[in-house]
Amino acid sequence: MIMIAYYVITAFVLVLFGWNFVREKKSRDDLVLYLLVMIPLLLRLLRVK
Amino acid sequence: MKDDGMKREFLLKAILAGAFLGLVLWGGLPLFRHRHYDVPIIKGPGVTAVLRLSDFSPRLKGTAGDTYIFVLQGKEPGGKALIMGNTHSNEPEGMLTALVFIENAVVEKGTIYVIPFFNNSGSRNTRPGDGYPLTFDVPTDWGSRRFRFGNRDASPLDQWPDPDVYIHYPDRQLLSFLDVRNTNRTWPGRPDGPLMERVTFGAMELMRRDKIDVAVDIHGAETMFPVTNCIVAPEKSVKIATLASLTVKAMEGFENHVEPSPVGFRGLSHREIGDYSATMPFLLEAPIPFLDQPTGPKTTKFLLDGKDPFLLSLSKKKKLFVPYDESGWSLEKRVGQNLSVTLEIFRQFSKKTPDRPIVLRGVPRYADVVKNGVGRYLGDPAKAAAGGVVMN
Amino acid sequence: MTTQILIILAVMIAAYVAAKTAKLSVELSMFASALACGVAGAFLKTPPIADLGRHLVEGSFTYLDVILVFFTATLFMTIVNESGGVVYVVRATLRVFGKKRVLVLLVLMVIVLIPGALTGAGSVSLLVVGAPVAMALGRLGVSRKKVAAILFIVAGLSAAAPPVNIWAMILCAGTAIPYVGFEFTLGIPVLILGAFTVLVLGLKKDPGAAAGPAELPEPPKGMTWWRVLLPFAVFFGLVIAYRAWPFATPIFGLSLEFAIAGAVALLLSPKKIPFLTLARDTAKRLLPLLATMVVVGMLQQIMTVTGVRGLLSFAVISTPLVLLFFLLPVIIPFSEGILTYGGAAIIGIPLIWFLDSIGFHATVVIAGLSLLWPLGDGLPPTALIGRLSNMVSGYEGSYKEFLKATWLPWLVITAVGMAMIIFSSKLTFLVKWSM
Repeated sequence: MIMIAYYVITAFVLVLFGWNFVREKKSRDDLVLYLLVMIPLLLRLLRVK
Repeated sequence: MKDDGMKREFLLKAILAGAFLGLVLWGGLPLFRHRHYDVPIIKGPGVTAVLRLSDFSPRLKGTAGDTYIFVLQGKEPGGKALIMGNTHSNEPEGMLTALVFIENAVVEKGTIYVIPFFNNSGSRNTRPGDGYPLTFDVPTDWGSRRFRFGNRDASPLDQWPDPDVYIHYPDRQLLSFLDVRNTNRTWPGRPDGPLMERVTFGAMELMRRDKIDVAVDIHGAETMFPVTNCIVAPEKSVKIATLASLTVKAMEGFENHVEPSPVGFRGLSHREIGDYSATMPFLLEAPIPFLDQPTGPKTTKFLLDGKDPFLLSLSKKKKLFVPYDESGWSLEKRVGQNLSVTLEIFRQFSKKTPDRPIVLRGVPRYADVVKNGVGRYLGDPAKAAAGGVVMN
Repeated sequence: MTTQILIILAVMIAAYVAAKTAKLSVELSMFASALACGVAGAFLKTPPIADLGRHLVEGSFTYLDVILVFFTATLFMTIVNESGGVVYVVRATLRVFGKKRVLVLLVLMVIVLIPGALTGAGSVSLLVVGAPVAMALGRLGVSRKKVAAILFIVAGLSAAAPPVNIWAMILCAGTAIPYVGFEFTLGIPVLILGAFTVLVLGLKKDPGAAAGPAELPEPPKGMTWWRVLLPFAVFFGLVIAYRAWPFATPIFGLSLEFAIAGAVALLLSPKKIPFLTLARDTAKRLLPLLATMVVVGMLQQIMTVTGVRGLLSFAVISTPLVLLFFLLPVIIPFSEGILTYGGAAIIGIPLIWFLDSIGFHATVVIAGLSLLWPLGDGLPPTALIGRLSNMVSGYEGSYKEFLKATWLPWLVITAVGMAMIIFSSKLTFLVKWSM
């Protein structure tokens, strides 16, 4: 139950960062940073690591 | 003009997203394969049954905490012993010692239980930030056997989240949050606690129900760690530990001193097994230079041969707790001394308790392993009889 | 081998400098540095180039849980702030304690100490109570720079304060020393140093202080005490419940505790809160911080696999004792600035073993060291707590000026920490009192 909640939180944060990546207009630096933060989030969600 | 800018932005994002996916695949796939790689274990001539830890801790069923227990029952009755490897899966000499027992030992009197992957989840986990190899190969006479190199702690994929601080059951001692996934801090465990408490509870139940006399939990410890190259024993086991230590020194020529198990430090096997069952616990530590902090790159070669120039230099400055020279501290030495000390503990126990003897043959000792290598005592799973291999 | 690793280290530093010169952000420069370190290593065969992807990805997981805690805690506080709760509390605090300055300062210090002491993370202190305390200090006429300085130092002390001190726990776990006997050994110095800090930095009014009474906006209509306090009560309730009934309470973990508290705050807000917009803004605001955590993890892994980390650890351990005592006040904070908690493992663990073996009292030494580590949370490249305290106090001046403002408490904390290390065997009574 609690573990599922953590996957939900992870998915939520991942979606927020993905959304911000798509909407980002100005900073190229930030585009890269969004993707970097998404690496562990995505792989945890896929139960890889 | 505006369209151009949008196109360029789209292109940039597409390229970055492509690179992102590429990196995720490049890095993710090996981690995925590591977690799902099964190690073949050959049922040796002495194996009479294979059980699951969930037989003793039902709430382990279907989880990554469940693991195999190999039973080697002798023709004649006698004492009972339990051997555990991979309590910490980044200390592989314990797991290899257990495998040598499973694949070679023939028990004549008494029964031996062997759990080679005690923290199964930990053996399928890796340690972020520490750059360990994912697997390592042990050369054998017929080729090589590949093993997972795991982590000290269970995988968060199997037990998540961690608390902000781990409160030990039942003593309420505060331990690091990480220790909730460390099967050498969660003893004696609970049937319905966090997954790793259910693991240690399973082993406690096995020891209590099957009336196990001796439990040997095999580890590796850094050369800069004071509690290394030793047998850790509580009051009730200290006599046998001391006799074993003196005997291997006199007969086989290697050092392995005895360390008392501190009463105030909870959750460890050498403390709680003794306090919560009739079993006598022993924890073996062989020096594993690979785990020390001040070393060169963490390569597979270093894991196997234990040779490192920084440690050599520190040894000359007297900053290590074990003798260390150009020959390093090889896997053969580590597994060999674990085997000899374990056999010696059984022998001393049998001498002290003649009505419950543990007698076996087929297991090599220190000098054999140092001379022939660990691989000599590991069989070829491809040539095993049908149904003779367990995938763990 | 040493030469080889030194070359890799040089490439790593050169890549960082080059990236900074090319005007890349700190986070991207560190990422470039990690990449360069890995490639240089691959060139010299450790690690094989094919493994580089795995090491980068695996390293990115080092602080995943911390990332989730930062995110959920910040989102929670943003909701409380948006609902008008923060303004409401500050107005009330000042109304009650308004006249007795010393008392207000000490109460505020204790308020900042509690969340960090319970969770071991100074960031949680700042994220949960940083904003209201900053406002209250502003109302007392303390300049934003000094507010940021106070928050940084006290939040650092809160992380070191018992019962949960993560540096000490990492060291105890790594050295097989029981995590017991720290209550007074850490508690007494933390309280004295905390009081010293708030009084030195906050006792005098700054004539040009930015935040005056006129600045405090009206809380929204319908705001009441219980609406503000209930979300916090839920959070602390969950934290304390596990402490009080550890075997009957499920393990929620900090992230979920903050998420639940956030949901309660959202439900109780007297005005409608645009949740998704708020969450997206929070993600944007936290981006540099979270990216730092990811990149530091990667850097740490690449440094280990190439042997750079081992070489640094070797250098510290090989230093003669007397020289080491002179260098520790610099090495310890900088190891934290570069590696965050990684510094405790890399330098701390071998150091404790070494000092323990020559007769120092390990528990007191660990306590002393763990007063020095939080200082490093204000140092670049990561500067996690430093940047957070700037953020929550609204200080927007130069980071260097902010650091300069902390000099006196910094010096005193260093002196106390070092004295505890050097005279550890004379201070064992602190451990005895705690047992």
